Order: sequence, then C-alpha cells, then structure tokens
Amino acid sequence: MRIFGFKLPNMTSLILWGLLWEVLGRLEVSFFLPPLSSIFTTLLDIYDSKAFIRALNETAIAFFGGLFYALVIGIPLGIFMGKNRFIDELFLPWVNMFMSAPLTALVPVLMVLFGFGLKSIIIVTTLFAIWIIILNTRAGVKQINRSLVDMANSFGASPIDAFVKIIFGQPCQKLLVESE
Amino acid sequence: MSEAVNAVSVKGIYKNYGDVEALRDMSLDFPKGQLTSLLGPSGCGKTTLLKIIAGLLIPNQGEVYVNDQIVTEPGPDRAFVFQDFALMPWASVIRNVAFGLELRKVAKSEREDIARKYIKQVGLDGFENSFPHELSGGMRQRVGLARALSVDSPVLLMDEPFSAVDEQTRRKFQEELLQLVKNENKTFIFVTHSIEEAVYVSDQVAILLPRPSRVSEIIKPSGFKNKDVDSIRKDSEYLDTVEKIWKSLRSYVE
Repeated sequence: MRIFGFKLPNMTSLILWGLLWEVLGRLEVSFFLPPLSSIFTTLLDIYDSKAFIRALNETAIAFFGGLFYALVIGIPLGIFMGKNRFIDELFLPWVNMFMSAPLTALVPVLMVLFGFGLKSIIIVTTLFAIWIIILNTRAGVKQINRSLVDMANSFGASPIDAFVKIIFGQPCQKLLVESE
Repeated sequence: MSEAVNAVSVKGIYKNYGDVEALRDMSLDFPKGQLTSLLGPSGCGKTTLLKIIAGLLIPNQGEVYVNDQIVTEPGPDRAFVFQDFALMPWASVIRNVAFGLELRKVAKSEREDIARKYIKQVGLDGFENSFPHELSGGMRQRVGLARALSVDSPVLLMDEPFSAVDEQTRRKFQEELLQLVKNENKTFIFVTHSIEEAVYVSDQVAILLPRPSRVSEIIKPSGFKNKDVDSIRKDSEYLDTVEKIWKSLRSYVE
C-alpha cells in the first residue's frame, strides 16, 4: 500500500497495533493489558521453565488436534456437499447455522457433556475451525469448471487423477487464496 | 493388416437427454488424414456427437469405431480441443501443455521437452512460464492446441475451437489449420456453426439438421484445396458452396 507516495512496508498495520498496545500498557489502562515489551521480557524469563513448556504443549495439542479434525472432517464433507445436491441440502442449514452462531455460548454445554479435559478443548477448537473450512471447500468444488473435468477425462485421467489434479487442486488453491 | 480408410466411424448412434432426443440413428464416416466438419444450427447435436466420439458421453445406442476398433471411453488415439480452452488457471503454460503427458505418466523432463517443442510450433515461444490469465484468448487456444498436439494422437477432435477468439485471430487460425492438416497427417473432426469456416478448412462438410438430428448432406469441396490460403476466399467454388449450404440451412434458422 502507498500513502502520499511512500511505499509502506509489509505488516505496517501490525507495527501500528503493536505501538498502540505498548502505549496503552504503559498508561496502565487495565491490569489485563501489560505493555507489549514486558510480555517479551517475561517470555525470555520463563521460556525454559517446566510450567511454561507444559502449558505450551497443551495449547499446541489442542490447536493441532482441533485443526486436524476440522480438516479431516471438513474437507471431505465440503467436497461431498459441493458434488452432491442431496448431501448439500442435508448439511448446509446446519453449517450456516453454526457458522454464525456464537459458539462460545456452547462451551459450558460441551464442558458438561465431555468434562474439563483435553477432549473438550479439542472439540471446541474443531468447532471453531470446521465451518469455514467446509464452506470454502464446498465453494471451491462448486466453482470447478465442467470442461476442466472433461479435459482431464479426455486425456485419459483416472478418477483418482481427475480428483487429485482438478477437483482437489482447485479448492486447495481457493483455500490458499482466501487465507492470503 | 489392412489399412482402414476411415479413421473414425460412427454407426447408428442414439442419444437422449431425458425426453429430448439429441441424436437419432446417426451414422457417419471420417476419412483418414482429412478434416471433416460437423456443421449445423445450434441444437443439431454436433457437439454431442463429438463428445460421444471423444468418449466423454455415452450414447444410448450405437457404436464408435476408431481404426476399426470399438471405443467406449477416452483413449490415447483421440485428443480434444475445447471451445473454452479448458486450461488450468493455476498452472503455467508449459504445465498445461504437458498435462496430457503428465496424466500418461511421462517423466517430467521428457514431457517438458515435448511440450516446449509444441509451444514453439504454435508460436508461443517465450511464454512457457506465463499463466493463462496473462494471455489473450487467441494465445490461450494456442495453448489448448499445443496440449492436444503434444499427446500425438492420430485423431484430433475440435469443438468450435475458434468461436471464442476475435475475427482476425480466427482467420489466422483457419489458415494455420489448413497447414496443420496438410503437414500432420492426422484426422481432424471439427465442429463449427460458421459456414464459411467449415467450407474453408474442410475436406468434407457434414451438414447436420435438428429435430430429429440427422445428417442431411455431405459436401466435399475439392477444387480450391490446393490453392494458397489467400485465394481460397475468392474462389468461385468456395463462394458457391457457402451459398448452397446457406440455402439449405436458412429454413432451419428461427
């Protein structure tokens, strides 16, 4: 982006928000908002402590576990919804509902159902990530040009090849583009 | 082994879309080494017939023969050129051109060598690493043509390949197609709705009429085939043939 002819470096907005954070922190607006710099210095103090490693470990497991289930369930479901009208009609209302529902409100219910353990946390992470993955995959599959599939078939693509190179290739591109 | 006269034959093809009869008892021969056009108003089933020959559509009845062998699915003996180019937007020109070979498990360096040769032949030298959105419509169809040529199939199926390019490019393509037919010793099946284009490029024009879809006439323009590309459009046989086809088709145009 350019402002008054100057080319702003990438991540300029990140720097601006970081500065704001630092300033508000030093003004001691709230106990919950320490200055950004003190967070980094504290990180240096505790990064090799047992408690920190354990907490980091738990968060990483929850994050990657949730992401894993969201991808493994979300991408196939999105592909089926994009390709099959019946499956689409069956699932789309639910996907749209959970997409816009305040999922945080469900967290207490999930805690009651699945307890306070890792299982609950992974389920919550999955529920936060899965809907947008389903919708983007579905949109990618729906946009596939019919003649690209014909093209792959005309050159003798096996169903697996056509799937991997055309049907899967395109939504992947869409997922990447959308997250850019 | 006897040499077949016809590279492709279709016999008694029926194709229905639900209640709509797209093709009824269609039989047609496509002589080897020649270009046959399927010409007719929209709805006459010419693209349907081409896709059946390609193996992309399954007829309800009837057979397609390629070199006297019945075929029911796409095969390496046929290559398709698409009306909308059908290029993968996320792949470079060279990957698009080599895609047919990629699907046939040709090693990467080998298929890129072959692709480079055909990219050069269609005049896209230097655009190997461009992406489809960076090219004009005409150049995109050159990519589609290079892809079809690179698998070296004896039969080339072209579905209105020049209808999405501008008029000047289209004329240039028609002239180049004549050279291609002369030099490549392949059999071309060419779908078009342009009478001038069909007469200009074809050794044989099959005129298809709709409702029910049938071959009404086969015309073999011959007198001007050996003239150079510039004089064909002024040739009296060329002009007469165009006129004659228009007379037989005009009553079918709403």
